[in-house]
Amino acid sequence: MDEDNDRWIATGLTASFHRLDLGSPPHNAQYKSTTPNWRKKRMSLLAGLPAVLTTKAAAAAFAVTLTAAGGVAVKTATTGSPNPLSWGATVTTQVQSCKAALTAGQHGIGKCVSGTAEEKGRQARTAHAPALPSQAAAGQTHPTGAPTLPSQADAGQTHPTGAPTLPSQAAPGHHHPTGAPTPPSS
Amino acid sequence: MPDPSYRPGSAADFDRLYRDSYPRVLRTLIGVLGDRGAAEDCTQEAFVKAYRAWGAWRGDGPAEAWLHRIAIRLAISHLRHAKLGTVTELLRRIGRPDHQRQLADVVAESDSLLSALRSLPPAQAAAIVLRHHHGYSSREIATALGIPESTVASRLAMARQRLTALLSDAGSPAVLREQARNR
Repeated sequence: MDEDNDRWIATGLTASFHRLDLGSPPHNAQYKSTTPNWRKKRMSLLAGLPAVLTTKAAAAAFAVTLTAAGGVAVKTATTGSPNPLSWGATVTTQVQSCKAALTAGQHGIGKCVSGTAEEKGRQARTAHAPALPSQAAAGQTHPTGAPTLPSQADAGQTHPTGAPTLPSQAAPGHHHPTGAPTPPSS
Repeated sequence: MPDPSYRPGSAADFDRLYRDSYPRVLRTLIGVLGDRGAAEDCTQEAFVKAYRAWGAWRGDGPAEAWLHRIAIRLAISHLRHAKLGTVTELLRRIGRPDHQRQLADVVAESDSLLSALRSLPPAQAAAIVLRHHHGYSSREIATALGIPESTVASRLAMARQRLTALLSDAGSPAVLREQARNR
């Protein structure tokens, strides 16, 4: 009995809606002219992106890069090691030694630490300078060795053309090119 | 009961949902409201609301059932406002030469079944259309009406009983059989 009733309702509804001739959905749907919340959020984020990139993000990125680069350079020069793990201990030791070196009434260890850092940096540059093949082979400090001249190498002379001589010296008995000066006859 | 055929936040998928579901939602609301014009307005409004919330839809049930839920709530709200505005509307129409509503819009007046549906409580009318016209399961009806699945069967039974009583003059099979038994 229920099945008959259900079928009658279903058939009746189908006939009723068919008579209405509802057709296809209208093309001018109202929702198409609205901007949904999820699109608003997405659009506002996209709109603000260039401004954020050109101001805050750029400034932050620049600051971070500068700090990191500066920090690495200073700490490497101070400690002599690019390894960040050794920076802290080395700097602490230097500061303590500089403090101990202060005389009574003297303030400031900046110059002391700075001097040590410079010295360490110099050492690090020397140690990490690229070696040339000739140096590696001969143990020379100058890439081409000390400058020498052919005459020196052959004769052991200190001057390339020998000691300077004068013609009068070459001929014995003459000490002056025009002879000994004679006093004017009076 | 996830619905993988529609992706939340996809405009293309919402367009497809509109094309697929608009006629079905409209029929449900005609069953609830008995007025084609009002049903079309509420259906359009339901799609606007659904589109706004489309990005937040979790996809944990059929998209059309979720859409029906929005539409039925709007229809119930429309009926409440219509009841309040009846007196105002009558006063406004007095004196106008063509004060009758367009018969093409008042579908329930020319159809006994739709007229009987209109007399039911909105949720019951919607349940009848969803089950007997759209073939929704109890779970889908529960999603569409925003009620527990366990109460769907009792709601439907009550709705059928009322509808049968209202259609006694229209000659439904159950009523005719009941009348024949009583003779």
